[in-house]
Amino acid sequence: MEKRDLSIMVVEDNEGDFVILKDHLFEIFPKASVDRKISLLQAKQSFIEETYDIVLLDLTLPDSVGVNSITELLKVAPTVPIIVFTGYEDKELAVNSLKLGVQDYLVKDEVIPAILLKSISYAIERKIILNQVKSAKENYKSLFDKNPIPLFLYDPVTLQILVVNQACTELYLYSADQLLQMTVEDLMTSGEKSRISTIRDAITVSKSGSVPLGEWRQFKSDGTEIEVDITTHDFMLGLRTCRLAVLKNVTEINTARLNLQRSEKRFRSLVQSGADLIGILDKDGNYLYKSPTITTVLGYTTEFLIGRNTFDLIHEEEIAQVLADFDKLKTQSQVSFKPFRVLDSWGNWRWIESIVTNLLDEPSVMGIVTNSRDLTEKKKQEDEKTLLIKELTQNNTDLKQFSFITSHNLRAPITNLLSILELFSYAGIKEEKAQFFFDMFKKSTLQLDETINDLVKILVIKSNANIGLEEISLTSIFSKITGMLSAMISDVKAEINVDFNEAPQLVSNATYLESIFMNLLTNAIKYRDTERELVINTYTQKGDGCTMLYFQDNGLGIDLVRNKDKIFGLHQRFHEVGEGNGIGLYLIQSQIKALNGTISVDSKVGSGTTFIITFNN
Amino acid sequence: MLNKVLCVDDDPVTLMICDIMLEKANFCQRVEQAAGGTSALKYLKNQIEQTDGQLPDAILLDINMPVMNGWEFLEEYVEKYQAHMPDCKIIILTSSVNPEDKELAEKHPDVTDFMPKPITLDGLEALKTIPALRKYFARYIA
Repeated sequence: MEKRDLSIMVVEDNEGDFVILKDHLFEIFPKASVDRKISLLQAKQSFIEETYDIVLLDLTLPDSVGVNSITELLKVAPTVPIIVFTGYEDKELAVNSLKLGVQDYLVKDEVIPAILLKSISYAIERKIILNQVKSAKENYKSLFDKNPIPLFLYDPVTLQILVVNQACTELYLYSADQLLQMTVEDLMTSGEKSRISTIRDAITVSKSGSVPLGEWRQFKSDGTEIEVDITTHDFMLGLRTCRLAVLKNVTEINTARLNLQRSEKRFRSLVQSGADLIGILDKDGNYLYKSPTITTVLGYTTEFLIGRNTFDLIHEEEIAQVLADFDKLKTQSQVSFKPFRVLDSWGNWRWIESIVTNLLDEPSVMGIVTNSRDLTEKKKQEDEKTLLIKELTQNNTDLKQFSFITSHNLRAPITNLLSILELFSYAGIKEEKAQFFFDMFKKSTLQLDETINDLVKILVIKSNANIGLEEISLTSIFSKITGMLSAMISDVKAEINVDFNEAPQLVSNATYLESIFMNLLTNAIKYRDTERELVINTYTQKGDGCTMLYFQDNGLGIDLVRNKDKIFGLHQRFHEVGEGNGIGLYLIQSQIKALNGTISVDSKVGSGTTFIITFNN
Repeated sequence: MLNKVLCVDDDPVTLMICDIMLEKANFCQRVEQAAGGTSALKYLKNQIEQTDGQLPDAILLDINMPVMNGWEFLEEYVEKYQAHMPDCKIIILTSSVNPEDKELAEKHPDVTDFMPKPITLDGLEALKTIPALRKYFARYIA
């Protein structure tokens, strides 16, 4: 200590006292520098530029008396050790001084070099330690305050919050002042209140001194709920026993974990209870995993299948194709395999369709995922369907052929009859009765011819998918038909009103349209009401993407209540009068269908019938 | 009018009617009958081989016939006999309602015309006016 060049400040206004003190100081610290200040102001100002190892302070100064000098001086030099000098023995003042932070006090008259040396040495050492303690304290405080982990201290009995750090205020969104007004219980949701006693009961049992309290649901100041994991530690706040709570917000972790659990559960239920067969293979096609559905469908147990090569179970006729598809997985992440047969545990071949995904590089899978479906039933049904269609197509072709031959064989003799009738009329019939029979015979032959012709027309429509379409003028077609039927029309004095102005043209088939008009007109004439003159109105209307053709008469009408479903049926007749063969409306409907149109009817017995034909454009 | 017409049909009634109708219409001098494709070919062969054989100016041909139908007859006719009788007209006369038959007939290079049955006097009159036959009927020459 003697060797050091101590820098000593002496604050003493009394010249005599200073000289004595200075002599003592040089005696014990010959190399020391002693700087005298005669007022508190002088002393305080010196600290602006200088540093001192110790201050010897007289408490009776011209500008300050008593402990005030100590406080004032510590304000500017908190770390410097101070020894107080008093002129008298004032115990109370001495104790107060020590409380304020001076290191020692000496009574002037009692000062001798030995005491001074001891006091100064102790004071300097003590201050150093105090400063270290203070700095450590501050470090700890800063460690607490600036810690990113939310921390608070609380009273173990009342659970009152005593100290909080910054992170804690950020967690709860309360200010520090607000939190210091609260207890731990105030932060809890109502559901947690019942087990709050576990926090009170927490006592240190573990060696580390920490007690995990588990996860708690708590409220933030904005009312949102959070889950906080709390660990408490014994803690001394000065002399006070309290507990430190270390907090961890696990809300997001828990939510993420929950979502993960749900997602995994969902995935499992999808894989295990779905209808699809899910397997995971290694790069060579050996089973790493199989879903329970594989056991259900193919009968193989997990023990049998795991490690087994999938290609061993595939039918030899498809194995090359399956291997080729499998090979594609080297360049494609997903491949739809063409259907192949797999041997089941009962020895049957089952048709399987697979979508295979290469997830070898996916760390959570590290395999080739096969998603397969049992097609056996479907395939069987399809095969049956194909066979049925083939049979039906053959039957249909046969029937068509049969119909053509039949109609030809029927037509051949009829054409002969027609020719003979012609020859007969040239030959001339002398006898009246023979003429009568001849007329009847001719009428029946013509009727037979008409029926056969209509049937043949239907056959032609049904067998001919492609019909020629052209732009057709409705007026010209209609005139052609009225021309052909002019005798009939004038016979019954029919009034025919035609207005095709709204849609004069139609892309259609002329032969079909002629047949349609022919049938509608002859029907209207055949089934006219003889009580009144026949009036026929026909007109067109443009619809949305279609053209409507109306054909209206004031004839006998059809009882739609009784006949609605069969009106366009084959061999249906609705009147006792007339000589219909029951084919006309069926023929019209077939022709309209072939022209991509529809026909509907509105009729009332006694007032007439309206046919509405809709041609889609 | 034409000199000779060969009618080929498996139905004897039709052959008879044809005979009468052709005569009544003053269509030709003579009518020969064949009951099918093979008979018709045989008849043609005979006529060619005979020194005084006379080949027909026209053949009225039915389509639907047993053993050899009209198309099959036509195939062999074109191959073997047409060269001997290049001016002979082939007229399909059929009650067939198969639209394919009519289509085939219209497209066939060796078919002169297609006549649906029944054969009528009006039909024959119309036939006389087609360009290929017009020259045989004096009143159309002018």
